Amino acid sequence: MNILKYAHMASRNSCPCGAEKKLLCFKYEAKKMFWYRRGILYVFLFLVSELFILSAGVPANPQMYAHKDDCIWYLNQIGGQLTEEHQKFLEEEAAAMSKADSAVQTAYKQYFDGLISQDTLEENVEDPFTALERRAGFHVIYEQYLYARQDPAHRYLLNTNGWEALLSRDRLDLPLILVLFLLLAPIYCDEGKSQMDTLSLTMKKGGAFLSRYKILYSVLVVLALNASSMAAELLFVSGKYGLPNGNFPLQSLSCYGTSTKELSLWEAYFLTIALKTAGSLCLDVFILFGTALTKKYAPVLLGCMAAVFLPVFGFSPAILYTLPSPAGFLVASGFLRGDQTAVDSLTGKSVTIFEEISLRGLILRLVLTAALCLFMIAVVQRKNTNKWKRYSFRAISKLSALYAAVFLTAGLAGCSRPALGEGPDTIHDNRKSAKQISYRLSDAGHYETDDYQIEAKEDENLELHLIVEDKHTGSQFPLVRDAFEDSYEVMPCIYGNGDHVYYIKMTVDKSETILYSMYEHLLVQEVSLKDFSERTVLKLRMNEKNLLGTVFRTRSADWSYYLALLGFFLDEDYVYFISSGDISRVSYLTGKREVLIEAPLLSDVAYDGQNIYYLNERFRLVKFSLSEQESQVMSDKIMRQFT
Amino acid sequence: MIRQIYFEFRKHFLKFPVCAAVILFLLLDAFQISGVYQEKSIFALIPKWQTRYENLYPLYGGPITEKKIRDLMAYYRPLKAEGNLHPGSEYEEALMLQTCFVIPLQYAYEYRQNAAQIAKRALENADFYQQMGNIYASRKNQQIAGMFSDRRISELCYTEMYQHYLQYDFSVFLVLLLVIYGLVNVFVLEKETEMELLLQTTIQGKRKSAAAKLLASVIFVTAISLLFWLADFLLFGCLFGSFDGGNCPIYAIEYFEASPLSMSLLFYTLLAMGLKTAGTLVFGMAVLLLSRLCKSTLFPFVGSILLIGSCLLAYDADLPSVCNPVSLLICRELFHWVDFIDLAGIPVLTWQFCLGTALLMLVIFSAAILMISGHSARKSSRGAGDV
Repeated sequence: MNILKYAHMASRNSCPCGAEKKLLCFKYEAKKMFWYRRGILYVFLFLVSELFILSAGVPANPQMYAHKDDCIWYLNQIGGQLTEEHQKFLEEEAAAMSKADSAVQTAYKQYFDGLISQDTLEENVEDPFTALERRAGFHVIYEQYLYARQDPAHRYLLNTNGWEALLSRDRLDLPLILVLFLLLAPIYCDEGKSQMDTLSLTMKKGGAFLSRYKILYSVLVVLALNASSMAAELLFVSGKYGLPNGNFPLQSLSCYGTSTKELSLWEAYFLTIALKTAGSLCLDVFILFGTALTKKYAPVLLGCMAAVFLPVFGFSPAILYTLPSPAGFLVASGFLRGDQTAVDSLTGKSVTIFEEISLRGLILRLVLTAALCLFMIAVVQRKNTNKWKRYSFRAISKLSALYAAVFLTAGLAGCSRPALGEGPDTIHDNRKSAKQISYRLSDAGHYETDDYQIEAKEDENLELHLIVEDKHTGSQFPLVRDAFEDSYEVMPCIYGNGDHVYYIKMTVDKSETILYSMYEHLLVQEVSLKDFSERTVLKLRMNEKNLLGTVFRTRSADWSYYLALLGFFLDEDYVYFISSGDISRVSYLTGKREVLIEAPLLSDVAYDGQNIYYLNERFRLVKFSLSEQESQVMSDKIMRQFT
Repeated sequence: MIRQIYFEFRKHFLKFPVCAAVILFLLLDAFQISGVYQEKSIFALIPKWQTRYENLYPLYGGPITEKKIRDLMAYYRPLKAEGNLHPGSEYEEALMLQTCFVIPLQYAYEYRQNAAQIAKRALENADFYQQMGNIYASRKNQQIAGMFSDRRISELCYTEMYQHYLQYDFSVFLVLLLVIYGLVNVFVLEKETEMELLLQTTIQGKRKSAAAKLLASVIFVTAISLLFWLADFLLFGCLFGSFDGGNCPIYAIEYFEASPLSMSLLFYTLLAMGLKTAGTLVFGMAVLLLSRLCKSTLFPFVGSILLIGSCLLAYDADLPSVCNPVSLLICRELFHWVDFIDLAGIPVLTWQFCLGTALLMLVIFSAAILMISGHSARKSSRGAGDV
């Protein structure tokens, strides 16, 4: 079949003449790539997966995303370069906020103490509440201000989410690499496999002529794929987060804070996409070079995979961005970064983790890679001519061996990043059915059933114990029955539902060095009151883990949030955590935390299975329906606790 | 049959490109390990501590006795007090003593009591659950009590090499790449040269040849894996300049403090090698199955990258991993905690369960490959007219 197909195409290839035949070459290549080899399907899958990855992305600064309107309100006034007036405005606003905050608290305290009437209270808190209206947005802007203050000439205030999404991700575009493998590898291999390459050498317009068009065509395909994925990204990001103030300096984004390059955000973006395109073109040339030489898939794909994946996942950034391979350019963000330092825990000295690549260094690397690519293209062309070969295959393989040697020596010159990993994993597939139950935050350390009473108590050493008391016999015993109780900390809140009690423990990580320890996992445990069997309902990783010596850094550590928990409850799909400022939920499936309700001064919370009731900052009862995700103020009565 | 296996092995794996790739990857591995040494080893970071450590080791190292502890503390305490007042050579000496002797010694000394405490608590819990009628939890705690009842660290060894060796897994990545490279061709080669039809007509063709390919592949994967694991071990030993500590129990390393195992570090190293090889074999058989199903090398290659990549990402995202062979490849996490799985009321250690599922997957994949080989013979002989 294959043989017939190519013989047919090759014979048609040789007949047309004039300018038309150039176009025909393109047409044939396109037909082969997209139709015969089902390229169109791969491109479709590529676009779908790109869109999926884009839509699964989370904003770099979720707080700013959640309070976009407030942030924009502030940025309209003080966005851009940080001037004296702006600083003054922010400091004054901060002072006004804390003043208003204390005024509210005093007023409510007076009311609860019976010193003032409700009308006076309303009057007293009216102004402070208007001042506090944009509090959440202000906190975000103030944090950005603290960052910008360190270098006001280069760090401007702006809505960063869109730019962070475009510029600061160290992500390797895996679908793009796979689709390039699938589309480009067969260009030379397919004909080599069916041994039609020799036939095409004998034709007038075969050989180097055809090969030139093949190379040109592959470049066009790479450019089109890159352009489509980048356009999709740009459209998606500008639609979701917006891309304001593109003329602001690059240093306004915190991950480029120490960079010395004088680039605006748009310039940095264009440089990044140019570098990424250069990276994929380089990969294209690598694939064509390998396939033209060997006519075999396996060694070429192994070589390209090693050239792309090993530097990115295995080597330190210094090597990644130095090797003349596509890897560094495909990631690209490191070329814009500034110096990064860290403090060594043992010696206490500051160590440079990453050294900035100067613009000259970048150009040098580009030129080096381009020269290598041109050499490879020359070899590919040479391989596709019908002339007597002046250079034997041996010479060419020697030259390619030289490249391998350069690759290795360049690789051997630096240092590396080793692996560290933590903790086992267990299944959290437990979904308790939520019956008509009630939960009160004021009872967070207490739960009672017909047979047992469970209480969180501190002993004289201020150590926390969850004690179960048998109501019939009066005997007391601990709820947490784990032989390894020294290896974790139990949080002072419990949640009960029917015959099941839930508590939270945090395990401590000891894997790194003997001088340092940190939280490893947060576990929500379920204990059955029938036979006191225990199992893990939710397991959240609290630290970053490195896998196979690589840097899959998926989540930022969130442990400080969980350490300040006031209480929690759960239903079939989520665990709801209550902290002093908000109620957020974590899905069993993804482990992602999202803020559900923001309520500063949260004083009491209740849950009935469908709705969450809480007191808002004006101490009024609010009902939040979980099914509709809507808040509704229930009554006008001011209260500190539910009655 | 043996001759056929040998023939398949030679045909697919004893080739120049495969051998070259193995050697190149071994060099990369060595380079990476030297990077770990440079970055992590205390003596590489502060070279002058090494001679000092070697001088002090005969005094405070080796079998732990009360006298050694007294001597060490008598030397260390005044030094630390002095060092805190006047930072200088005393401070550095105190820091060195603290890092290399005091903390490890304290850990080793206290471990016995901690383990006994755990065992005692576990027994209490077992009794409690017995009363409550919870047989599973009771059995679980009895097992824990058994594991921790007689644990002690009687020797202070230089275990830094094991500490970092057991955390190292870059070589897994290299082995996986090599396995993909080696195995994608195994079944595709004959299809690409259109020799498969011919092969089907021979007596040794069909299933017998498939079985020979399968066994040759298993030998290849095992050999490559063991080669790399051994190279890792030797390289770590040579770079850190010591293979000491192989006799120490695994819990002498703080990461394995609550490990379900109590074998020696050397035995654990062997066990880890076996588990990692089992994990690699599962992926190897999956690649082989893809190779059996596809007609061109390209698709099994890209398919294997997708498969292994998604398993790695799933493991990284903390999705349930008992059936994920990656958990065997990074097996230290299985031994970090005592973790059981409830199998019809019998507590089974998670690592045993993982190994079981991996072996089951191996059998299923191999059976699938053999079955398809038998099937496709009949099918393609029917469809032979097409070509």
